[in-house]
This record gives sequence, structure tokens and C-alpha cells, in this order.
Amino acid sequence: MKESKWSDEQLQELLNQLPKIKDDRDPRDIYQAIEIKMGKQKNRTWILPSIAAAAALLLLFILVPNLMSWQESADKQVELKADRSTSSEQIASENNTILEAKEEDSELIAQDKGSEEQDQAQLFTEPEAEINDEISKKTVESESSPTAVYEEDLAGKEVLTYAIPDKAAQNIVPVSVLVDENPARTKFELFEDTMSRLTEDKWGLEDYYPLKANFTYDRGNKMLTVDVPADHPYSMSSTTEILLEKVLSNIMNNLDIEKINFMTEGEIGIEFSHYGYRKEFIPENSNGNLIYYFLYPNGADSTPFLVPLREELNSIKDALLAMKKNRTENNLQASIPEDIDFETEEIQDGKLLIRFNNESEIINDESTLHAIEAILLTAKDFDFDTVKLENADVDKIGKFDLTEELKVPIAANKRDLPN
Amino acid sequence: MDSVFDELYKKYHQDVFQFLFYMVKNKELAEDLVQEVYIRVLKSYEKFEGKSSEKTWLFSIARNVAIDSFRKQKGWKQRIMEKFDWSTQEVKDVLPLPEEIAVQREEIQLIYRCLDLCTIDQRLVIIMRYIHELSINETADSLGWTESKVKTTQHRALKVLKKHMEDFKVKEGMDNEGIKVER
Repeated sequence: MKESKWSDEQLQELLNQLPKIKDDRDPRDIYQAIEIKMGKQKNRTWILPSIAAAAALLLLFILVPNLMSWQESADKQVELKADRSTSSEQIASENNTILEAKEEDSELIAQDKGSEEQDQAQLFTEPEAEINDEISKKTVESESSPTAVYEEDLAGKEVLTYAIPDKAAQNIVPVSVLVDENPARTKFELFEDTMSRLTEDKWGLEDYYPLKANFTYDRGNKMLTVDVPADHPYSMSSTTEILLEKVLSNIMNNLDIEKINFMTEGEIGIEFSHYGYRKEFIPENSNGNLIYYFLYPNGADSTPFLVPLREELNSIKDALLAMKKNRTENNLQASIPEDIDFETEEIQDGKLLIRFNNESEIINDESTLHAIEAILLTAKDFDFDTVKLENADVDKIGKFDLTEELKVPIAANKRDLPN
Repeated sequence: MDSVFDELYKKYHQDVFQFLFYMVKNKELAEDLVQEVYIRVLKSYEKFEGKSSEKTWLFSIARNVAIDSFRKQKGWKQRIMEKFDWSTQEVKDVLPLPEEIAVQREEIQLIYRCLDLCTIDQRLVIIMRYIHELSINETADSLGWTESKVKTTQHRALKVLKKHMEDFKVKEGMDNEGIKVER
């Protein structure tokens, strides 16, 4: 039973009877398929290296400028911080002896290491270096000019303050210009006249003036009528409406206006897309005080604008502390450096005393000058008339004589008009 | 068309194709593999020194192609096995019998199935020796083996085939008996 049924011969026969299997494709098709495959393989052999080469070139393009600027900054670093770079060279030469490479090679390595160390040193000291840079630039540049309008600027001049939105429509910057007094014109007329001469673009602010409206000022009733054309741009969005409101309330504040009547081409009222129909505008009484921050619309090297934010604070001390913090949500920079500490004291009515701590570095440079102006402007809003600064490292900062009480400014952000 | 290809096609195409088919038991795969054989042949045709016959040279290339394909397939199969452990059995069975085999009588279908149960070496020898009727010498040449290795492998292959075919028969018989007992 277990005996095998198949002999080898039978098996061989069976195997032999396995059917012939044919490939019934056309040989031309086969050849084509082969050609395509071989072509592909050939292609691949040059495609990959060329991709690699292109990538390498791209990398080179990206890296070379970076390396060059690195080198440059490293060079600068050497000039700026001679002592630092010598120390890094020492480290570099130490590395040399450890490495004990060929002479030429070790020289190369020394350079490499040197620049690496410098780069690192630069990384660590970059903020400092930047500040130093700024300082050196500014003290050289000018006998630091203050940015605000002071009493002595006023001789024969009228100061006009315009509320100008910044480019991002985040802040309203009060910009003051000085115009010659003209007995024939009222201050409001001067304000209206000067509107068209503002160079907001040059200052890095939004081109907002002249306002697209006709103004009629009723001095007796402290009332202003704003008559806009039908196609006025102020109701385009809620932002433009809020901006207009802010600007108008600023103007009202500066020009002693209590109420604005809205008109559209002679008809009473303006139809706003978000606020709806409005006949008049009376700004709400705002609480709190204005505290000033820096705005750099033209880059950190430019003269900052001092921009007020309204905050409810208990005292000038709290206000000055708040001014040490950046206000990133508004794109505003702290106006008092973090590392400056001081005590404040109200010596008598309208007189503020600020005593700097010994660690605080108060030197004669432009950023300190602007910080002092920010302090003065904030103090002004807290109804101080003068501020005395004590325990500074210098007696004079820009035009400020620190041995005397400083009068608060008339207005912030003095800018010149084109002739 | 390339003259080398033309010549090789006329002389050996169906042989090579059939060989590959019985190795991989899948027509489409065999069609791909035969193309791969041509690619390898055309690339190295100049190197062909005529030491061996063209035929055995082609078979040796076909054998390499088949083995490479098994390697690829194995990797691919193993990966699937890890994920669907339960499905491996089905994967094998799912391969349908090609038309040409399906119309043959039962014993031929059986031996066709049992080819799978041999090792690759054994299958190579069986196909070359009995389906393509290469001589021992030619087979040894194609495989790069000695003749005695071909002989022993062939012997073992036949033994394995025989055993599995008997197993199949016995199994069938037992099934039949089982049914009978139930009745």
C-alpha cells in the first residue's frame, strides 16, 4: 500500500508533459519596453548627480553670503572689542597646541577656531555690541537733540499737534509741528492750513492728513463741524472708523473742542458702515493717564516717536515702572531701560524727584535722553510741572542740565515741516 | 530593432519565458522578468566570450533574474506577513492555475503544484532537466555547478516530488474514506 505509485520515469514523463507556456506579446512591444527601461536607467545615472550638484550649488549660494557677513561681523568684532578678540586668539592658540596638526593646517585651524570663538563671543555679546554700536553712533552723530517741544521752542511760534496713526494702524502718534504765529489766523485755521504740509510718509507714519473733510469751527460754543464728501474713506472698515474717532478726539483735546457735528455734503450726519448713522461725536471721558513708549517706525537706529498709551495707574511710580516693559501687542518699546532703577518722590505740588540707584547707568547718550523725555512727558500727564533727576553719572544729558529741575515738555514728537 | 535582441528573441525567447514562468508561476511576473533578462543580456553581450553556449549563458542569466525576484518577493512577502499573519496561506492559494495548466489532467496539475514544495535549487534542476530537456552538462553549465551536484539535486528533487504527490493522494484517499465511514 505504501509502495510508491510513481517511478522516476513516470515522474519525468509527467514533467515532460507540463504544457509549453508561451509569451504571446509582440517582440516589438517587448523591445520597446526594454528600451524604455534601459533609457530610464541611463537617465537616472545622470539625473541624480545633477540634482545633487544643483543642491550643492544652491547651498553654496545660501551659505557664501552668510559666511561673508559672518566674517565681516567678526572683523568688526575685532575692532570693537580688541581685548575680547585677543582672549579668543589665546583660546585658539591653545587649541592649536592640542591639535598638533601640520604647520599650515594648524594655521588654518587657528583661523577657523579664532573666528568660531569670535562668532560665539559675538553671539553672547551681540545685544551689548548693538547697544554700544548705537551709542557710539549717536554720540558721534549729533549733540543729541530732544524730540519734544519745550517752552524755549515757542518764541514766536505756534505748536500744532496732529494725531497720526502709524502704518499698522495700531497707535496714534501725536506729532507736533511749529509754525509761525499769525495774528490774522486763529489756531484752528493754522491747524487746518498746516494739515496738507505734513510729511507722514517720511516720518514712517500713515498718510492720514489732510483729512478729507471741510471744517467749520464755532469757537464760542467750542464746536466743530466736520463735513465729509459722500465718498469719504472713513467708513471702509471698523478700523478706519475707530482711527477717525481716535484722531478726532485727539484733535478736540488739543484744540479745546467739546463737540463735533458730523455732516455729509451739507446734510446732517454721516452714515458709518459699522457705527451706523451718527450726527455728532463727543469723546467719552477717559480715565487713567498717558504713559509714553517708544515707537520705531523707521528702524531701531532712527529717532523714536514717543507714543502715549492710556493706562489706569495709581501713581507716577507705577507708571514709570510700566514704562520699562515692552508693549509688543502695540509694537511699542520700553521707554525706560530695564536696568535703570530709581525712587520717585513728590517733593511739593507739581514737583517730582527721581533718584537713580547707584547701579543705574545714566550717561549722556541719545537713548537716555529719550528715556528722560518719556519720563517728562508722563510726568506732565500726571500734572507735574518739573522733574528733578538725582544721582545720575553725568550732569548734563543733551540739552538737559540735571543740576536743575527740568520743565516738562509742551508737546511730544516735534517734527519739522518741509519748507 | 536591435539585431542582437532580434536574434536572441527568435532563438530563445519562448524557452527563457517558459523557464521563468515555471520558476515564478506567474505570467505577468515572468513577462517582466524576461525583459529584465534582455536588459542584462544586452548590457553584457560584448562580455559574452562564448566559453559556454549562448543557451546556457541565457539560462544562467534567467536563473539569476529569477532568484533576484524571489529575494525581492520574499522581502515583500515577509513585510506583509508581519502585518497580516493570517493571510499568508491565502496569498499562496489565491494564485490561480494558469489556463494552460488548468486544462491538463489531474496528475499534471498535481505535479505542477508540488513543484512549489521543492527548494529553489531543486526546482531549477527539475525545470531545466525535464521541462527544457537540457543535458546534465548544460544544466551544470547554466547553474555553474558540477555535474555530480546536478545529479544529486535532481535525485533529491524527484524524491521530494514523489513524496509530496503521494501525500496528496493519501490525503485525498483519507478524505474519501472518512466520508465513507460516516455513511
